[in-house]
Amino acid sequence: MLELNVPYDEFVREMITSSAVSTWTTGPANFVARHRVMSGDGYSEMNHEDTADELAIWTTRLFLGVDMECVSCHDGKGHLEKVSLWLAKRKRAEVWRQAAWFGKTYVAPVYGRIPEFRVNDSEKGYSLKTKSVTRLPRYPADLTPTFVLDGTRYDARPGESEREQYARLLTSHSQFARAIVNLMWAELMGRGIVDPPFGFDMDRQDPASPPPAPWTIQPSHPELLNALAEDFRKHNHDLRHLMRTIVMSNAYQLSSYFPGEWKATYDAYFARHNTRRMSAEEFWDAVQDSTGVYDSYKVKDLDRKFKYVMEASFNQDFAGSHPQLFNLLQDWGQTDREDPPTKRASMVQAASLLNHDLIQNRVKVTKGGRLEKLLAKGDDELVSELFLATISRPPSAEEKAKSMQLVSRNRERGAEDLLWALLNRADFILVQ
Amino acid sequence: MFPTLTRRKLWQYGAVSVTGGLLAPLERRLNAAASSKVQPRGSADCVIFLNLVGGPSQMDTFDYKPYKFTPEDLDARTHKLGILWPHGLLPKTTGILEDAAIIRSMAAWETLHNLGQFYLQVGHAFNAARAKEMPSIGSIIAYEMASKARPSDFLPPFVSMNFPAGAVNGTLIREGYLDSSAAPLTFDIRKGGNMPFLLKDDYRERFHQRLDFLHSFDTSRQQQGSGVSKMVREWDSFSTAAEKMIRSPQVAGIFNLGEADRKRYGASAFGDACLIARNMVSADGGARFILVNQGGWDHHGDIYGKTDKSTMEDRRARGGLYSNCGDLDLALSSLAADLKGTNKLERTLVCVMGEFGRTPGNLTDIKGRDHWPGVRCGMFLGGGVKGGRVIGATDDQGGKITKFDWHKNRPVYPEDVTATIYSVLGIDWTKRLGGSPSGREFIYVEDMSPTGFIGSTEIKELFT
Repeated sequence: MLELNVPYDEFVREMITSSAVSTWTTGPANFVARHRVMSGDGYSEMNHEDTADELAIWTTRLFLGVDMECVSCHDGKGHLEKVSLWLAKRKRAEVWRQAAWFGKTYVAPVYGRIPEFRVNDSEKGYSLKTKSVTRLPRYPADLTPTFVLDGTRYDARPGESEREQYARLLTSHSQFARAIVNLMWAELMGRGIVDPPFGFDMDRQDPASPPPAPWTIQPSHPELLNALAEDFRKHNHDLRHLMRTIVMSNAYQLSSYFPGEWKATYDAYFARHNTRRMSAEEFWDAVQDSTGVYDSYKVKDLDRKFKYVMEASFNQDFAGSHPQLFNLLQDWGQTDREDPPTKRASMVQAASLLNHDLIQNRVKVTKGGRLEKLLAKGDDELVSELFLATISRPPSAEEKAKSMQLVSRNRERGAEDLLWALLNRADFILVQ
Repeated sequence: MFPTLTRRKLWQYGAVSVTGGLLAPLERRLNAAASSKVQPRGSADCVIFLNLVGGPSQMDTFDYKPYKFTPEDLDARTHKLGILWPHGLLPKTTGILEDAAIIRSMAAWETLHNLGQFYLQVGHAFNAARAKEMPSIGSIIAYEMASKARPSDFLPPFVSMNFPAGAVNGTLIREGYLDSSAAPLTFDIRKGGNMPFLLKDDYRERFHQRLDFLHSFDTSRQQQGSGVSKMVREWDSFSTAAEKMIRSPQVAGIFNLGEADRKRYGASAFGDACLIARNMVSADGGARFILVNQGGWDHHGDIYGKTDKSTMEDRRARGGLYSNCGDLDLALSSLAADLKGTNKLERTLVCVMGEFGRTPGNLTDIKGRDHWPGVRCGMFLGGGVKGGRVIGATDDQGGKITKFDWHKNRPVYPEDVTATIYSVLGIDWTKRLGGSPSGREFIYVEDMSPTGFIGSTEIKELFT
């Protein structure tokens, strides 16, 4: 999407509305296919209503930042009063009416267990007869497709299907732009203006009509959120423009160190940069780039090899060929991309940078590697280049002096030790 | 100028650290409340949990019930305690039955591995709205044990080995919303291995030199005070703990496994992990909850292995139950015997179970058994457990509980097992923690019905 710079609204509309004879040839339809819920043997038979529920929940969560998972099993009343004003008023049937936009959506495997799917609009509508395999039994209710944020019902315009109307309502609602700018902000800044970014409480958004005490307006900077959303819409839902706007801001450029007393309540105000750990794939590819020693990873079912683990389609791709690396990346929170990966730190991650065989071998002078090339140059250049290759900045005068001293004692060994130490600095692995 | 004495330097000079433990808590304690009508037992210092991931077949193992498909070579014999036992699968385990209590009236709530594993590891139902913030049993134990940590500790309280993570089994559940001091030490010694704690002898000196250089060189960790971001403090805490562990002279005794020991434990990844667990208990290095995971119990097909007898020399090569039970038998029996031999069993609870049982009666058309939440089995040893007993009974196929045999007069659920684990470690299992992102309290063990009609409790019958 970023590579081709497809406008974000167009991209979302396509995912919601695509049909496919095979999801192998029509990419966007994979969005609908991946949220299928199967019943029976778990492979061939789809549970249509459960699938529609999942699509309602996921489209609302991902594209509007509103999580209806709780009210998909029970009404909000009596459960969510302390969690969300808006959700506390929601009824289970509203999730079904949101799901009814996908009432005609049909997903089926093309050939049994192979993950290839057909997607079209040949179902008969959202029915209460199906027994849910994931949630509590449903009960009779009005099931007209209805947009949960504003109550707009299906109006059967000529030439526009339920899914198409849903995509139109969703992408033209003001919350659509607010949700994505907030998500992108959270991704880049480590925390959303509304946080967590899929936890919007729609009754606490408007500073002009504040919620009753003790509730407060949810966004930390409501005007900023609305201004970013407005600007994003004006720029034709251009994600590159959005990212550029955020990373060029003063807020993004701040240091992660705050030279004063910090309180937890300050976290929401972006007065310092939020630190994040590199993901498993970023970590390993950064180690490869820093040391200039690369491996090659074969991607399953493809006759190609890749230089970066980020390019693998599935973590199991190299589980067989590189078991040690596979285990290492598991410890760094890599997943099969069904579950979101974790970027939390752990002891074994720190230990692996200190003493893992794979790191030990990477920091050795290796034929064709960065160290070998730099050893041919002067000490000054060797040290500066190693800093740039690892922590992306030149050394301070003092760092340079220490490093030169290390290298001068025993050139080859000193350069290896310096590279090891650079990889073990907290600012190598933490993006600050 | 660089500060001359940093917290990292303090470690190096062996000064007493503020909290004593390997991983220092970074945040203030959460608001906690306990209704405390319960009396935790406090009969153990450590729990080793052998997690049989996939769900072992109860009627072929701890609740042996032969059926027309059961192969002859499962070799059922009646143990002197009157327990009918599959000698062909678990021969060595008979040697520890006098120390073990087997519960046959256990059940599960879930029929999918990931949900069942979540239940087993957390003691709570999976809940999409709260799953991310829920801490696992091991992390609650780590959180509770922080006050008992000692400066000599070189292991964190929660250790997990070999969890077979993936789309089917789900993931290892970690500290949820608790801080990094409750995080598990994880490592995987299956294929390829990943155990960066052991220094090679010829590298030791250079490693120490490198560390010395790093400590004065890493300016990104030398800033002090509240202005330092939490992630930096977390990373520094993990890294400092990892250093301390790698440098500890005792760590070699934990990870360097002798060939004779390895052979006794089965020379498998599971056996090696059990041996490491034994070593961790012997070293008394601060580990309180050691989760040893063994995948492969999901025997939907060929549960009795391949019929090819050419590989009979090591039965484990036959697949199915022969492989899993073969590894389990050697590891479990050696672990129990070693703990007993060193008088560690008295204060160490060993639990053995999976997330659910398997379907009774006929085998499926691919010669296996599917998931069955109605009955599962568990084995408990040590930590005050009175051995030589079987609690509960099932029908003649092992598919339905016929006798509960404990004071609750209902199946034993994961909640009750969780309460028992907390109890032996002296933790009030009714405690509630505040401060979660969802705003809801985290209750260590919840009653299974909101009115308390089905209340959760420790399985006191194990100890009396």
